[in-house]
Amino acid sequence: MSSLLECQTLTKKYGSLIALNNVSFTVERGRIAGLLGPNASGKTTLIKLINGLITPTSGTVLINGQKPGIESKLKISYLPDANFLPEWMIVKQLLNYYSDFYSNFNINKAYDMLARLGLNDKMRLKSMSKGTKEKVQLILTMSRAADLYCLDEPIGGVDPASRDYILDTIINNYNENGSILISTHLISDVEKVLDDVLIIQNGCLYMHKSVDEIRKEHNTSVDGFFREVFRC
Amino acid sequence: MLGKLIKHEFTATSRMLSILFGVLLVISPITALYMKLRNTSLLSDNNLFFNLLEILCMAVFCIAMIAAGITTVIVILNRFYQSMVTRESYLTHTLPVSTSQLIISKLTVAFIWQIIGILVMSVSLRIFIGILGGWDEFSRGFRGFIIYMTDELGFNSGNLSLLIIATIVSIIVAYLKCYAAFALGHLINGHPFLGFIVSYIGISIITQIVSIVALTLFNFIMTNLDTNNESFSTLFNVSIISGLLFNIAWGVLFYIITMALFKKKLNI
Repeated sequence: MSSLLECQTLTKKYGSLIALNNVSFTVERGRIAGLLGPNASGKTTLIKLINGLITPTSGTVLINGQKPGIESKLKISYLPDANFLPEWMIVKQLLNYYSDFYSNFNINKAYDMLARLGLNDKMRLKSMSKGTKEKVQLILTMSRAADLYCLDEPIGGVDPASRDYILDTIINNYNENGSILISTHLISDVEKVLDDVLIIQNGCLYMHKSVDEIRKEHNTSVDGFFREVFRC
Repeated sequence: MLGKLIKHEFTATSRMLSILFGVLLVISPITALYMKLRNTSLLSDNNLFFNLLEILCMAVFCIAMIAAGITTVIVILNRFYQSMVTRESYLTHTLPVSTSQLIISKLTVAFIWQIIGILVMSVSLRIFIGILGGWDEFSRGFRGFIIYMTDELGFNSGNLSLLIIATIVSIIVAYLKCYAAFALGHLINGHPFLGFIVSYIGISIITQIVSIVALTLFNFIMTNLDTNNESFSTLFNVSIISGLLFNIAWGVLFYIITMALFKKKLNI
């Protein structure tokens, strides 16, 4: 049986700049993989390639054996690293939007999560704080019973209390038959939820191991290992 | 999915355009009523303030009409730009729909708004002229023009149908041209709007050059044919059909460029 996510010799160039260089790896079903690396290492580029938002210079991305397209977009739930929802929309419009296009979107689950945060569906995005907008984006992403969740820096730029809320939301709401690819450089916060680690450095895949292997082989936490490798 | 895309496209554009058209429909009777009152005994004094207000009313109506036309196009193009090229496009391009569905939905809504805009502007003009009491004169003038076209020049319903089709096609092609420029412009990393401007100018120059060559060729063919015995109606049809075919060819090319770039070279 093929892997849920398979990247084969993936390269992305912007002119002479190589953003991603010959990256190959697989993510199996049911795994939570951390995509780690310093800033500008190629994490967002890789996630965009998986989501079909940019096209590779060479190599292929396969999601459940298929190249990025209509089918894969239904299977992947993507959370970008920036506010991407139209500011003029109210929450109810967003919920209807997701309901209309994604057959795997669970609107009741979304309403539950909103209620727990004290948000109502009449609220307009424009009137929300940056943190609240991020939480709404996360709720929309995690209310889908997707095969693969691609979360790009979901805890970047938020306070520690919000980080806990975000991680709890992810862990309690993802489709357990699927997988999560979570990109971050805040390793200590996510380490506890990860099964596997993919470390990217200067566009190249530096390491792909399970968290247990790293701990066993290097006798340290993933965060400790990362700090050792990328010491300035 | 196409129906859902069209529905949401309407939602996104209607909040601006419905206000715009509503304002236009309110401005027309207000300005016309003041100008009408100016001619009654109530406000007929040769007062500088009333005179200025009358000029202002006329100016407001004219500016509102022009602004409505321009703003409609800007709102529609801005919607395309925001949802296809900027950060909002993360949402658009991760929907489980095809690129052709995205483009067709946007084009359909753009076209419908354009037609609604033309209708609203016509109704506003009708209200404005009607209140001022000039409708009969306007109708007479228009009827005279129609009689001249039909009786003197032989303009018939076939010509009219063709003219309507050509207008519809030219509206669609104008939007497709902008879409192609957006698609080309988005390839420039970090400067998609600048890319759009440069691409639009580039496309315009190319289309102008090709049009001039084609028009010269067309004139050459026409002058070598014995057209002296042909009626206005026939010559009109030949001109419109050739222009229409030319426009359709551009439209198809712009659609292919937009499709290919957003599908094969997406760079968000």
